[in-house]
Amino acid sequence: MSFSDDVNAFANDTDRMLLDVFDTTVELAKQSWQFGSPATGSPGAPVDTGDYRNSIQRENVSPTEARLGSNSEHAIPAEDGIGPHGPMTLRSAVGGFHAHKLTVAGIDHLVEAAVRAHS
Amino acid sequence: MSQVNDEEILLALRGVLLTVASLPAPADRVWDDTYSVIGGIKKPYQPKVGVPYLTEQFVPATSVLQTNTPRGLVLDTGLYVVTMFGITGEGGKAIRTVTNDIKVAFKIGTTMSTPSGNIVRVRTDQAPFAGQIIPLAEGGHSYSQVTVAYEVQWNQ
Repeated sequence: MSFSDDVNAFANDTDRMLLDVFDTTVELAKQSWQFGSPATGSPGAPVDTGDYRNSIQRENVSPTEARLGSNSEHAIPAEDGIGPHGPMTLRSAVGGFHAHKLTVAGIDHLVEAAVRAHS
Repeated sequence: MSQVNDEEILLALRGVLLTVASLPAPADRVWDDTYSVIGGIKKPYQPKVGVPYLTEQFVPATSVLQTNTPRGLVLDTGLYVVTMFGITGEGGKAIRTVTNDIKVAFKIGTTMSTPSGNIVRVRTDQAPFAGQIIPLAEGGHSYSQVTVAYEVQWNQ
């Protein structure tokens, strides 16, 4: 095997690991938003009927770009903690407010976890 | 730097908030999302029709050991969420004036000292941001939420 072959093999491995780390990061972010994560401090989505938590979906835009989103009418109230009448009281036994914001704020911890998982 | 104290962090953040001149009247500020102070007495807050008010939420999040024990450096992070409730139908400017002033007060890198010697810092990788103005179905209020991501380093 030539030096050039070695460099190409290294480059291929690096590209594959990049995609693996990206994929794992997105999955960890989705889990953090839905179910909570000690890495981000997110409590996860609060649950009444499960509509909001189950509505959080992943859309792959390209190999290195993905979107996480929710089309639930409960998403904004559950995120902000503000309902139709004003500030809400959390009654769900699991989850809490600001799950999405905490996931975004802690994304660097998720990237670190994904790197560790593939190294 | 000593063991971090969440109450001190909250009071440091609140201290910066209180420098904002455009906040609602003191009796219409809801601290820790639970009470207001009226006549020096803590009372549960009841929103009043036609009266703007503000709530704060303190959301501690992560705590990560960054160096070796036993005197390792720990980085704590969290959110300070301030919600401004204005009057629906009066235009968004009144609400945005307050949220903009709050963002200015908590500009990136702003530092606050706590009595125990810890330094609370507005994170430099995430600027404070305000959400859209959302009208509530009842009560005549619309709100916008400002989120401030903070961090504090301390030795365990």
